[in-house]
Amino acid sequence: MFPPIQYLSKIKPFSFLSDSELTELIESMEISLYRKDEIIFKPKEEISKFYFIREGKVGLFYGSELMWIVEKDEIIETTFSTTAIEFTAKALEDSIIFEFEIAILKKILQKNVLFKEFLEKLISGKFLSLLKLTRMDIIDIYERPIGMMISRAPIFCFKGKTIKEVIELMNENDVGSIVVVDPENKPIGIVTHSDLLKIIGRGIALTESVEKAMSYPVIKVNFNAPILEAYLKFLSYGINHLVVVDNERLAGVISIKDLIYNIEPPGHFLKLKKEVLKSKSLEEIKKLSQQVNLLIKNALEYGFSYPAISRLISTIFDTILKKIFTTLEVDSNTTIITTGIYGRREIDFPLKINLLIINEEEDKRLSNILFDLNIQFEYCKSINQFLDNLQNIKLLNLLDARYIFGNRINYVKFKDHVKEMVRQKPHLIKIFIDKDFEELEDVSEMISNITKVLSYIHGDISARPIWERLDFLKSRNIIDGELANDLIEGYITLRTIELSAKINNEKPSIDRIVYKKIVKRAMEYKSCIRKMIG
Amino acid sequence: MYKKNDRLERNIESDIEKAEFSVIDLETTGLDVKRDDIISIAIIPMTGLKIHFKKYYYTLIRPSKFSEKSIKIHGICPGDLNQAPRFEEIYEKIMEMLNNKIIVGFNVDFDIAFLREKFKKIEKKIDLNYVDIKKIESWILIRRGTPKPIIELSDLISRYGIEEGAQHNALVDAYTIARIFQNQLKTLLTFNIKLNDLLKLGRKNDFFN
Repeated sequence: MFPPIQYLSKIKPFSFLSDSELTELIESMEISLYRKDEIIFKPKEEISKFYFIREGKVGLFYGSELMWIVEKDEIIETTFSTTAIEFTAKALEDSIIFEFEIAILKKILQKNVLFKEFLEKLISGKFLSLLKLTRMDIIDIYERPIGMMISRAPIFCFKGKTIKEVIELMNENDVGSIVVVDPENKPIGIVTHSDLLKIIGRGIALTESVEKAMSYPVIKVNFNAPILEAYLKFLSYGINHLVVVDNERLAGVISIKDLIYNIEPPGHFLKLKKEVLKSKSLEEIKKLSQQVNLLIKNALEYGFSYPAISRLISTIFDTILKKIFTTLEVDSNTTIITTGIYGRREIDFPLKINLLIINEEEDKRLSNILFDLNIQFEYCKSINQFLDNLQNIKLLNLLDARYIFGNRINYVKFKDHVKEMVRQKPHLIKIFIDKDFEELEDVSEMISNITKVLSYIHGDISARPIWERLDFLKSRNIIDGELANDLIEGYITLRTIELSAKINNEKPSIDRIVYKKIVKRAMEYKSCIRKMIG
Repeated sequence: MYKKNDRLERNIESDIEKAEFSVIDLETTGLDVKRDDIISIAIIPMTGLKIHFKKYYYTLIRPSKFSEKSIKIHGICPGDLNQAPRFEEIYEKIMEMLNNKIIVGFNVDFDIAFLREKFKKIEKKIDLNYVDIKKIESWILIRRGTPKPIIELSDLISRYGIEEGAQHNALVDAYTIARIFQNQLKTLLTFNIKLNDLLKLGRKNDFFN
């Protein structure tokens, strides 16, 4: 076997390639020796190669800041993603690099699913540095059609328009590019900001026709082509806008920003939050709130941890709730509190929100919208009366009460009252100690209930996720540190499994050994509490 | 005025990093330049420290007569050569890839002798300038104060950590030579060696060879 083929065949992702595919790749190869501090590529350079470090170390710099180091037997993944154009790659030591043509790689990607999957996983792993990706999920995203990314109708003009008219069109529509089309709506050119800069540089008058300013031929991608295809186009042509066509006719324009927004989950979160803040009508907010469940699903698929998903989603949904209340101009004397699991900033699927509205009178408009959004709510006219008639199990939900909107004084009074009630009912905790575990959910529920009561008793009345409360109990030496750590891990594991089962509409399943270990620790937790309360 | 060797001279005048090299390896039916034939040739172009593997040339060559005893060295059997071109059919391609380039090889005198003989037989003239990585390595070792004999290509493969593959295939060997030479050039650059010096030391006989 040819030496580099033999070598690469043992290294991922090349190990997914057949001998003939490897041969094809190797036949496009150049081998460069870059000496220390030598630049391999610069930002905005058109890159037609991707790089495999055979020996040495390469640093990727953003400006003068070293972002990360690519070492021996690794590929420089950025040469394959849109972020490539942002980085300078420099040899940190004498480095031997195998350089392959992206065009050949692309050809192989179309044929070899495993190779494609792995490469994409790898790329995204770095691109979305926070995430641990599972193989299938990321594939799914890259295989979605590019057309789904089009968020608005394309802005276009016919040839013959003047450059000045095109600039006005850009300003009017607040877009970075205008597509020039023929009478059949087929793109013949595109004018972007950088094209305009070029014509200014060349001293071309603004009264000239747009053909003098446009770039052509148009780099385009088919509406149904996978996102990966668009990725590759952005990369190989070093462009910022890509024209999407359906049957050769203009269907839209996507920018690099669109691509990043859609591929990167934090982008989704940011985008949604921004849209909520910008929204002007209740209808708009309602529509946006419907995206939240999809966001939970995507976040889990992307490998976000349960605590991270909870934090992100509760931040977004709090914004949605506040936006609803301000848009409705809810009376400032009203106090709105969220209770139950969402109150402590944990999430369920589908997202369940419980609200307690402290007000003399019911606000019909508010009730209607909450009803529309599937948010559970109840009104409370008098705090004292409400709490005095409360069953134990409901009291537990109130241990997660968290302020959302309105009169803060009422909220503080409410919390104080709950605290006093828990103090007077030490037997409350016993209910859970004596309960047996039947289902997986029983274990997580038991851990959460005991933890809530215990932290209340010990003075932590803030509505926080269970893992934070367990941390609090640990820091106060109320429970053993090792036990607390195992309970945190066990609780998060169970909640993740429960969430995943609900999303996939199946029964939660867990490795028996893991489950037994968690149950064992939960039993120890129970007996430790039993001793504590005598 | 245009001189025949103008391009080569310009090549030699340029520095190592811009110089154009052609790494070669041959497999033959035997060791006798007069009686034996070339049965495969591989040429890989290089510019300075860059190996243009994608521009490689490799072909089997049909000999006038075949010697069975060499099969065990290169593994090429008479059947493999039935469809192969004769040297006369490919000499132009070889000339194109070697002319005005600095030829690089391992025990390259042997390859050069065969090429000269074959070109002579078909009455074609070719200028061959060459360096031997074996000699370059000896020079580097002496320069470092650690002289050591180099006998086999495999000595250099392990020294430079090059990927290994079946030896005595012209393309594999040419690849290996190119990778070794690339590393050697880097070392020579640190010694501030110019191309003219390289041409001398790459052909110089040392204590061992």
